[in-house]
Amino acid sequence: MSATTSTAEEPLIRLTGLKKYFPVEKGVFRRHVGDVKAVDDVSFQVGRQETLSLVGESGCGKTTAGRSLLRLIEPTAGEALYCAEPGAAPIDLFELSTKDMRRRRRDLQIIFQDPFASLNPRMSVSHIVGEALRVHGIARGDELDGRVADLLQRVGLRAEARNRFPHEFSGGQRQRIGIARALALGPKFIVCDEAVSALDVSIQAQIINLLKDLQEEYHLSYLFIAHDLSVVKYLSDRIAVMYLGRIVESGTTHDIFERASHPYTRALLSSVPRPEPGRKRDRIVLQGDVPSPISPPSGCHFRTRCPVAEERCSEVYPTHVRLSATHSAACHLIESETTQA
Amino acid sequence: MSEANRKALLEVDGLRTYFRSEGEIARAVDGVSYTILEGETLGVVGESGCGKSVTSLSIMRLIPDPPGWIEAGEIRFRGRNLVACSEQEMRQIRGNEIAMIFQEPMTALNPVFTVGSQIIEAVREHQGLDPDAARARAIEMLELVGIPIPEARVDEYPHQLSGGMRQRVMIAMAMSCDPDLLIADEPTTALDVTVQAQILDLIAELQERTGMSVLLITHDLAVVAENAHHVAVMYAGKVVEYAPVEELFARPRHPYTIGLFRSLPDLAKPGERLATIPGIVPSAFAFPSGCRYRTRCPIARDECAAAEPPLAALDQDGVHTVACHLLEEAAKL
Repeated sequence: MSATTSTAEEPLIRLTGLKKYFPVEKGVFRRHVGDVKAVDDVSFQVGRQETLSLVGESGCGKTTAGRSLLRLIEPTAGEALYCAEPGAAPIDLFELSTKDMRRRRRDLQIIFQDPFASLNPRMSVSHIVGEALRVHGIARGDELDGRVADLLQRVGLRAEARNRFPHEFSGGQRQRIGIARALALGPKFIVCDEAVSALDVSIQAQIINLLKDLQEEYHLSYLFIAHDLSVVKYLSDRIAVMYLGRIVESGTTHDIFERASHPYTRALLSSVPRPEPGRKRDRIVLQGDVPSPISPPSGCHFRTRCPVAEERCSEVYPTHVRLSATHSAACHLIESETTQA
Repeated sequence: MSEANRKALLEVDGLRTYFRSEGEIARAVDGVSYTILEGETLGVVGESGCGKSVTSLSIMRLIPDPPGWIEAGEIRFRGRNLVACSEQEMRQIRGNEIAMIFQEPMTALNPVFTVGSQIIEAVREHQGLDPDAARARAIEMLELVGIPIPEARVDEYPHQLSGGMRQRVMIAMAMSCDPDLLIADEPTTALDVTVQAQILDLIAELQERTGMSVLLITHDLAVVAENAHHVAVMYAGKVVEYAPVEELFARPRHPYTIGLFRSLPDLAKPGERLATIPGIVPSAFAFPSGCRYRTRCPIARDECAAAEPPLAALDQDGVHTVACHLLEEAAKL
């Protein structure tokens, strides 16, 4: 599904130039001494019934990008055009008043990583799943009960589960409750923030299948935020790779896994262990750690760990080089590499 | 074991480690046996709660008592039964002969002491070095594990280091007394994948250099595939399958192992549904009778509830062992 590549149809989400800076303050007067540029000029689109994955290591800004898009944290700059129906006029989510945004959240939901921390332990399951329906005045009384029971069954739990409390469930079951909650309002777009990362492999497979089924059934679009590349490869239509607050490469799943161009993407892919004993590894081992986002390296942020960095890499941040209609990467050395090949 | 010339360094034999909670008994480890050969890495895989970490804590005799205790079994290290050792004797073995690194290096390091002083403490205690020699040893160890500018880092506190660097410090501490066995309990689970690659390479390099054995505990089959020589698959407090790594990945025979492989997104084709294992891991307070996997097993029959299948060799030389009553049916899965 790469509907977004055609120009005719407006994608569900078109995010442009998202920035989220967290101020760094010092002293009693809270002097502003700098910014953590958690997300710095990030743009992407999510098509209808499409899964876009944001991948990268901890601190790369993938979670902040997802939460800023839903305005769970307020973005510093950028534009997020949301087009509910094909042909409808897009609205900028970042321009909506808090009240309008709250109403809009019916369409835009999120599933969190930790199924232990994201469910209120004092609320019954029916309360957790039904809360949004009540708040938005969609259902009450018996109808609400019925809806909650349907939702629970849809995510593979028994309807009786609604009278129980989160601590009575296993990790996988709790994640199902979190998914039922996200589905309650009939959303079009769900941010899955490391939604399967905390689960054991056999349970993870159950949840991945559920997410896929729900996508088919309700025509959902996902922004899938994850660090596990094998899950990402399996689930995504398109992938954007982030490093220190910026997207360094984006393309279809095939582009990224078969034709990775950015040295960071290549190193990341080569670090992923594969369940094939005796496989010959040609691993690109990166030196050192991710630099601090308070003072990222000048020029290309990746140059301090890049195996092929040259002098010009420290001068300016590279612009995205278009490699095909679906594939682009931000690296000074890419053109020369392709001409070589 | 028919492995040429390799002797067993550690043999866990029928180990049972139980915990008491609110009057009930959790059989966290319930009859585990495996062998670690000299100079080799044994990977132990399994899902949360299968008992893989409790087994390794039992080897170190670090089970908190109460509520836990070793109920039965032997842990033979170079033929010596650790279960029968006194606390005094264990202190000599811990660190010196068997060292351990943990998943979360921040909680395993003491935040109020410099990393150097924590290594110095270990080598002074175990090797009786004087302060200057111990400090030199600490710097040497930090250098060995690839920490840049070790003579400066030695005086830093754990919070000043990144996650990957902290895990390197943990490894430096573990290696400082030159152990024969390194127990690595989910050593890279909290780390990013590029850093995970660095740490696993480091452990392999140290093994190459010192000839130590490694017990690698992980939930990640891919990590096992690339780093272990033998693999023990654990489920509900028991080893259900044990084999050399190539053999296990080429010919998994236990229905649980087969189910685990099938649920890996790595091995699935895009668009193909992932196979799943239905249900959840049973509680250690109430394991099913007979085979513990039968409640989730696609081929279970009545006989599976009647008796627990023993871990039996598939062939004469006994390199591949499986605990299943229905091996023929399982082979068709």
